[in-house]
Amino acid sequence: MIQLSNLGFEYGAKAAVFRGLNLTIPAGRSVGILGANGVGKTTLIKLLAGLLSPTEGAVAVLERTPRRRETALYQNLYLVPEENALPAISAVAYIKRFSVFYPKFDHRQCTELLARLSVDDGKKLTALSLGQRKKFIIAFALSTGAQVLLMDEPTNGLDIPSKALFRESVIAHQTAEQTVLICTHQVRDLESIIDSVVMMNEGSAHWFDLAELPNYISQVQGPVTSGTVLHSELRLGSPVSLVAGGHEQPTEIDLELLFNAFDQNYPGLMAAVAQEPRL
Amino acid sequence: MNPTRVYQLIPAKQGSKPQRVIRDIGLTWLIATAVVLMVHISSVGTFTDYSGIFAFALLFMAQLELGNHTFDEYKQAGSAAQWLMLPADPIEKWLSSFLTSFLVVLIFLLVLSVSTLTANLLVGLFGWGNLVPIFNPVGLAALQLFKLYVWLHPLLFFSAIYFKKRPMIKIFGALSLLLIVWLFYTAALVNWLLGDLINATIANFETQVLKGDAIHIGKFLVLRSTGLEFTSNLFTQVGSSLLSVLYFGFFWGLSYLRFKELEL
Repeated sequence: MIQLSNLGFEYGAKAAVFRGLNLTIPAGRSVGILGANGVGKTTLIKLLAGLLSPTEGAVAVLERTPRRRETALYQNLYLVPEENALPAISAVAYIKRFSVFYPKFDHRQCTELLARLSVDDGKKLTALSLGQRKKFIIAFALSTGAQVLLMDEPTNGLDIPSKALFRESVIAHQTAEQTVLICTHQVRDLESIIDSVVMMNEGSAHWFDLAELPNYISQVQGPVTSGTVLHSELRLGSPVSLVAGGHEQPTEIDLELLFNAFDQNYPGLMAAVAQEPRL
Repeated sequence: MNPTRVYQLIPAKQGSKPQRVIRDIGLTWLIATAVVLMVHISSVGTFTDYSGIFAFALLFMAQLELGNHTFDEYKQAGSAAQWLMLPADPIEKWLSSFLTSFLVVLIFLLVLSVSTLTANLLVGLFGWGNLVPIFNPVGLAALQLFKLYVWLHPLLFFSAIYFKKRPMIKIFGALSLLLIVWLFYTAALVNWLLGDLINATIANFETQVLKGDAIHIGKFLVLRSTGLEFTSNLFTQVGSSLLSVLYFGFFWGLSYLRFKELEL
């Protein structure tokens, strides 16, 4: 579905964003892309979208090279950018003009989503608020029937009820073959909709299946009595740790804790997930 | 390549900015009418050859369309991703812009016709002398204008994709510089290649040429007061045809390659 092979990108000779990324993301997953500022999350999204060429290695999406910008790929690959300058036409006119390029576009679903997200489809898109515009483009993206949806900070600009609606819409409309990649800083917005995460730091990226992860690492509340601590931090005065090895009763792993372990103890975390699952 | 998608891309772009199309047509109509009227009034109605004025109006329109709007959706940060990722091959997207830039000139010819009608209406109303000749959008003058536009098109179309801002000024500036350099280079080259021959064989070179006599240099070259010319028609015909093909092919081809290279 999505494959990065030794992928590298640099702006000029001395400004490498990342190098040697290897990653495989299977189809039909909801993936969060998490990383500190400047590690290249947006650059990765642009490479996946074919908006940039890698300076080394290769990207493949649906077994095609995105940078070739082929029609067949773009009918199945849609990007919701962080900021989008929509034209000064109504939502209805926009859908009429641009839906023709997507053979699997579902007009009924689009109308339903717009109503559900409370977007006024008769108003000019430029007259809508940032949140409304974002909701419109999310509704359009979900209706294209594209197999891969890339979303760059989709919840930026959305109010709290809209964030909930966004999550509901993605869950309700994502098909079994569809992969959704969401790049965000706001980890909490994603927790209920993603089933895996790609974590990035300077030089590495790794895909974690959140359902499988508790077989390799465990989250422990309070003092750790056994096992290798991968990362520990205080939360409301009480320690919370990630420990190598599975647990008899797998615990839900907090994404922020996982990210901090990835960021601060990358070799330890990688060694833990490379072990045979204990359960 | 799918012609249907090329056809769908044209209204997708034009329909995205409907007010822009109306505004540009209105602006061209106003400017063309104003220029025709100004020339007519200042010449007290004796001016008859409006071809230069129409050419000026055409340049204005070319600047408006090719300079400001062709490929602008791919240059603006907010919309570029959406347009680059629109499911159509790069050649289809490039072709849609290419065809639009030619459709625009047909609309312009109609606007120019309306401008001369408007000017006549005002001339008649205010009694500003003889009527202005009405521009026939399917006449010979229109064909001449269209030919001029076709000749300008490769350069302007290339500049529209190559430069992010003010492409017309930049391309004409770059060309002027290139022309100056080329003039010096040619002068130096002629002096280096033919200077000795000219000086050695024709002592009274200046007086002879200025009198209007032609001086033959070798088999293919002749020097007249108007400049250095080729004697062989076939040679010049083939040469100029080849140059034309190169000119159109080079700039149109380069504009497509540049379009394919666009990244964010």
